Amino acid sequence: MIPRRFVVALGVLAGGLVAIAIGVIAASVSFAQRAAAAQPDFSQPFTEEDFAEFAALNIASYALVGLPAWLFLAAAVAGAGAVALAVLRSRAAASADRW
Amino acid sequence: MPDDGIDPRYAAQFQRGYDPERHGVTPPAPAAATARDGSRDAPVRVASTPESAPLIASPAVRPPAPAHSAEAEVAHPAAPPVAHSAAPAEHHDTVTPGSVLSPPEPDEDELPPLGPRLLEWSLLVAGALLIASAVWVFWQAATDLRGYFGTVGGPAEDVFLNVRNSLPGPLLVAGMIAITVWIVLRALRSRP
Repeated sequence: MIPRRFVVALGVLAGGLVAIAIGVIAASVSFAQRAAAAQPDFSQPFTEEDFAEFAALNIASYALVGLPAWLFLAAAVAGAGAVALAVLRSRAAASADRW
Repeated sequence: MPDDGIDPRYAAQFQRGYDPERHGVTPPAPAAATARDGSRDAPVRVASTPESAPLIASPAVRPPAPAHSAEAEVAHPAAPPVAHSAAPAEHHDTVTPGSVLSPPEPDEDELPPLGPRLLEWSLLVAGALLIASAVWVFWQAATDLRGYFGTVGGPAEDVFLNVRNSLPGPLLVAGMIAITVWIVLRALRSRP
């Protein structure tokens, strides 16, 4: 019979990836808010440092936006592996009970 | 009716294959045992040991040593090759318990070589490398301000930046697939 620790490991991996994806979404929203707050007033003269900070926050926000989808896909892969192992485990247990 | 004893043909010697015509020794009658022990049901001894069935060699018998096989070849030159493995069974007094019951010694070819063991861990290493490269590429893409300011060197660098921006996700998924497959394979291999 397949040891339970493998199923648990894949389940923890999938859950961790989902948690990271949710955290990335929250970070992306936070970066976008900070970028909006740091947006320079273009009607007034602004320093290059102000614009650099705004650009960095904007880029980080847009970079993070596309990441959760991939994280959810990776979590789905790990979750599918966990489900497959759980099914094999249950089949082995049913076979052992039959005999 | 007086009890004149049991028919000698029902003695235990006949159950073990005793044949008076072939062995030529008359088994003692049960009456003799009765006279000796005072008990009619006591075991009766015969002069010669009854012949036992020959020992059949186990299929796990190791092949004979080269010297022994050479002797057998000289003794039985016309014997087929299969008869070599059955030869010790015919002479049951020459079969030693070690040659029949001991498991065969593993050959060097049966030992797990280094290649499969490295291959077993290579999937995990590849997955970790893919995820690490995904994190590195993502970090580079998220901190590079050249594309934002429009200071890209040319079309080639623009394409490179686009590729770099698109790589982290597929690299991450590929790494996770590798690690998941590694865990699944280990789980399947750990089954008895």
